[in-house]
Amino acid sequence: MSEPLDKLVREARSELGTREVQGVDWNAVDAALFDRIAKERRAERGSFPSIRLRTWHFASVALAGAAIIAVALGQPHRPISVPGTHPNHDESANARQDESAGTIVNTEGDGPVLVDGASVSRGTSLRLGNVLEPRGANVTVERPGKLTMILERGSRVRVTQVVGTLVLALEQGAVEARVVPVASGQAFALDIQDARVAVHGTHFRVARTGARVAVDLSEGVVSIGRVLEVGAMRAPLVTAPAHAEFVATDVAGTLTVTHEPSALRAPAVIRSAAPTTVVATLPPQRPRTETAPTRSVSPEAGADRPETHAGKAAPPAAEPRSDADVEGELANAVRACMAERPHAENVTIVVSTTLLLDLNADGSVRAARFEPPVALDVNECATKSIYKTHFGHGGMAAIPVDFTN
Amino acid sequence: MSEEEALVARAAAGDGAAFRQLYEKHRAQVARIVYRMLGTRSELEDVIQEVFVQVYKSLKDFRGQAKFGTWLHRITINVVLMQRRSARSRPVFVSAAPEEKVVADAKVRPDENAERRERVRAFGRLLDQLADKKRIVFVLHELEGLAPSEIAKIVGAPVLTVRTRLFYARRELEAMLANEPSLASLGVSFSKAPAAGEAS
Repeated sequence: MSEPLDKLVREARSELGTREVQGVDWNAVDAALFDRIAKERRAERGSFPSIRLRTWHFASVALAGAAIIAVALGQPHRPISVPGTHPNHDESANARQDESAGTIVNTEGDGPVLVDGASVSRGTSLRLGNVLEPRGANVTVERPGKLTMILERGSRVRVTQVVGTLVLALEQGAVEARVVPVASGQAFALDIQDARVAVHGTHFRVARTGARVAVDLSEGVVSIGRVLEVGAMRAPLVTAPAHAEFVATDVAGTLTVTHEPSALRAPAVIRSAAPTTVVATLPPQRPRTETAPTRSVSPEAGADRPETHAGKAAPPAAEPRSDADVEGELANAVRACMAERPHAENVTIVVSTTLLLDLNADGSVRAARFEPPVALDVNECATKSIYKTHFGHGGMAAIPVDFTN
Repeated sequence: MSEEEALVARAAAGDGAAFRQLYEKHRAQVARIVYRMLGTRSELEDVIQEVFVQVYKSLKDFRGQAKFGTWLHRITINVVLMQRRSARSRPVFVSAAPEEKVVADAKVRPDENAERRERVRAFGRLLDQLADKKRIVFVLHELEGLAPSEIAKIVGAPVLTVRTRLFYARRELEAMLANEPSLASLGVSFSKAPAAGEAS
């Protein structure tokens, strides 16, 4: 830079805009700003019913047939009163709210299994609002094609959402689930007071002791964070294998994550109704590094945990994952990053890209790029998963990633 | 978690007092950048307001992947660019910004401060002639002191691209210096100015 320009820049650095900023009428800006924010808040609150109505309107088209069949078969019909909507909307919305959260497909133990205080057996379907309490037995619940989960004896969960993401409130005990990956959004979420553990497709276990929560993630990606007013989350992603702990009332301040395989509880064998779909996934043995913006803990810190895992289960036998599994997980992680991006409610975002990987001889990732490129924040988010991935081969890998919100 | 991170988390969770603290902490900096980018005083307050409305609306989606300051810069730049685009589509009134006009009156000998202010305003006009992308990196780097790597995050471009834009911005400004009448007329005192105590 020439001397004259350099001097001009130095002068401008201290003076350009300084007087103008001093002349800003902050009282006027404050008043106008907070007035607009108040209007935004009112608009946000006012928009929820209309968004819900739009969803139901869409649902009424998709599920009209199902609703009619349900009525014809004499299924319980509880009208939902929505002012200003056509009766068909009520029926379809009702049909969706009546959607099963899953069916009890297996019990292990002799004690009773209660749903809303009444003893039930295999074949019982869970509905919105049901409280499931396996008093003396482990219970396996299956939502065909979506997830299979084990509720451990002594647990209590309440079904709080069945449409879209299945959401259970874990009131006590532990849930371990195997969730089929979804293209976008969250397939399953567990709420523990103010906190939510949401999954996009994974094998994980969540256990609570009072407000203390432990998450063992043997596969995939979960978000762990606070449930906001609108059910959205502002949460870091945690990739497998991982053991995370937090206090439900203060996730951000207490969340710790370790990727040491030794800290991870061995995943249970989750048997679905169909004997061919038994799953038992084992964590890779390679130590991982921190991914989420959280404090790291050493495996030795187990004394303070709700449960101490060291020695609880024998180290699982190493079972190498196939490259297809690895690629699938990576694609899911990228989709999860895309899903976390802010977007307007009424905008559909479609992304089609390919993740091109340059692999070292040992299967670790040397370089990665998206073709075509993706947004910077997706890049940053995906990087965490990409560079921790290990393939069974060197060379190149190309992983197509398609995403629709 | 730093104090600011805690403040951001509280604001994101809907704590209005935390949002106000963030606003009061950063508003002057935002105002300065907005002015340096816009080059005009007339819409400064509206744009500041718009920046913080966008911050309020987007805060719940801020996941802490970047520093809050970087994220705030990014929003500021985006709002300024939107403002400039919409301004371009509006009719231009010749008398809209009389304070931008610099009338070099050879008969009036300004004092040193006034002369410096004149130079700074003239420099602002030069900046305004740069293309948006170059002006952004120049202002953020040369005037705001941000590192190219941070600017790269703000503008969503590789660091190399930021450096390239910076290079061309400087080069264009050098060329413009010679053609800016007010700076050309100030050129003599401009070059003499560094000598302390020298009579002008």
